[in-house]
Amino acid sequence: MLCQFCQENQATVHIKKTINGSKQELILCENCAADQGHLNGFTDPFSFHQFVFGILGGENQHIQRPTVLECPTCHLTMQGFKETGKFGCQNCYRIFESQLPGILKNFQGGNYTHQGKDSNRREKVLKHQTDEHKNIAEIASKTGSVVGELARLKDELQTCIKQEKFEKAAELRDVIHEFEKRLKEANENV
Amino acid sequence: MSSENFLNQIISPWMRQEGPDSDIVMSTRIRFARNIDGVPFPTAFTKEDNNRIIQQFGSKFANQALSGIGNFELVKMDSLKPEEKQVLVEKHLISPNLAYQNELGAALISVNEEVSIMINEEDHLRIQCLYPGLQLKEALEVANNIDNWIENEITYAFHEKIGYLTSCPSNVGTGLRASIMLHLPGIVSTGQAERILQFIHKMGLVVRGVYGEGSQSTGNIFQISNQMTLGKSESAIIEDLERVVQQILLYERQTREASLENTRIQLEDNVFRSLGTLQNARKITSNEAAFCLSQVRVAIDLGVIKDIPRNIFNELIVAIQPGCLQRFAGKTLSPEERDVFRASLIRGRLKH
Ligand SMILES: [Zn+2]
Ligand SMILES: [Zn+2]
Repeated sequence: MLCQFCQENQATVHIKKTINGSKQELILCENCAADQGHLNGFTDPFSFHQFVFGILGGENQHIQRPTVLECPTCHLTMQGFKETGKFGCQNCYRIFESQLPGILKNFQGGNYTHQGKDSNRREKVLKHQTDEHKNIAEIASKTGSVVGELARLKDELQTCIKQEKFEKAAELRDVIHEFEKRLKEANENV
Repeated sequence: MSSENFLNQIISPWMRQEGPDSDIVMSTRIRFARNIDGVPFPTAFTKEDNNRIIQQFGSKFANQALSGIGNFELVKMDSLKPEEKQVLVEKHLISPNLAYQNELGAALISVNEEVSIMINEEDHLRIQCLYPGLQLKEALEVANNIDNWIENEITYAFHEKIGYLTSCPSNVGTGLRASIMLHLPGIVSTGQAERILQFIHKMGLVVRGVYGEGSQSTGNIFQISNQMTLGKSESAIIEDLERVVQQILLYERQTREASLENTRIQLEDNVFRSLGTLQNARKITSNEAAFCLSQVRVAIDLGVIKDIPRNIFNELIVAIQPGCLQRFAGKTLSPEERDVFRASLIRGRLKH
């Protein structure tokens, strides 16, 4: 089942709570649950998995929390966005793309496709962005996809650990390290 | 200085013109939110970004003429006194946000005060056009021309799927906010205003007081604007707004005429008492002044009062605000002093 919030990751967290007297059930992925403050620390009931994850996940912080998405350009996190309701730069729209439907639904109702003016502008924007000056937008979209992929891989790693597929988990760990390296480089270049 | 001379000097020229449906619609405003490609939004940028944008923008557009609009002047927020900012806010040329948030930002204001481009408010650019009466199409066309004029020089932050990018997702897509300022004493007098405004809200429109978000409605004035900026074209957004506004106009006119027919003496009594207050009071609060002005204005619209020009209401509703009053007095005023100067400004204007 897919996460009800981002509609992208596998849902692994089941939350039941009562809001204004009515019962609500949420089925979320680990990332969204953490972003929304539903997780306090690592909630995996099997401490063995926690132990394994600690080894295979490499760095200690992974025991605490799947990595929080941060915009490499302006350093905004989802938490920061939730406090102000405002993005810090255009790159945020790529980095937090998976959460946009939920955000836009609050502000814009149902339709998320721009219908207004742009006609000859799209071409102009693309042309402008190619070679003239340093291509921030392209790097942004690249890092955007890296960050998204990274989150997905971490999800997969966790699933593998839970299912005790340790060899596959070890492979994933290496891939994740490679991704993290690339993301760090991209951050430094922006 | 006489009240009349002062008002000539301080009130934007467009405010004294009549537009379509000027009996109810005080003004039309179109606003585009835009950001410059590759630069963090003002919510996250540095002071250097701020200065560079203002500099770049000022050198390209200040003292330039755009056909049909005329020249623009650049006003930097850090070069204005608080009272001067307040006057610009009261005239709707800049937002309270830009005026009071910090010393950053600037505005490019056309000499005729119909166009104001706020720089580094919440977004890099907020292009705004003001027109008298109900003129959504006309204002949109002018705003579009200005937008294109700027986009020829500057690349905007644009997303292939969700359009123009803004710091708040509530403005993304078209970046268009269309607002209509309405004087609705008839609807308010029926006691139905609350219900009607709630319904309007359900139609996806936002209702506010005169001075924007969170401000109270004074003098039966309401501002109605579109909430959604994404998923509809610019023209569809203004058509949907116009449809609702037309319905409000119809209802407002009906209630005004009904009260003239059914309770003429009562109406005349109220109106002439209010006029008496405005012509004679030695001190008056802004709430009482707004209330009396609203009554007099509707009487002018209905032909009950004939010898006072109609735009006096539009002018005075702006001029009795604290910032403008202090300009009139030429000094900082305490609230009690303001009431005295307010009364004297109004008395002066209503005397022939
Ligand atoms: Zn999710
Ligand atoms: Zn960002």
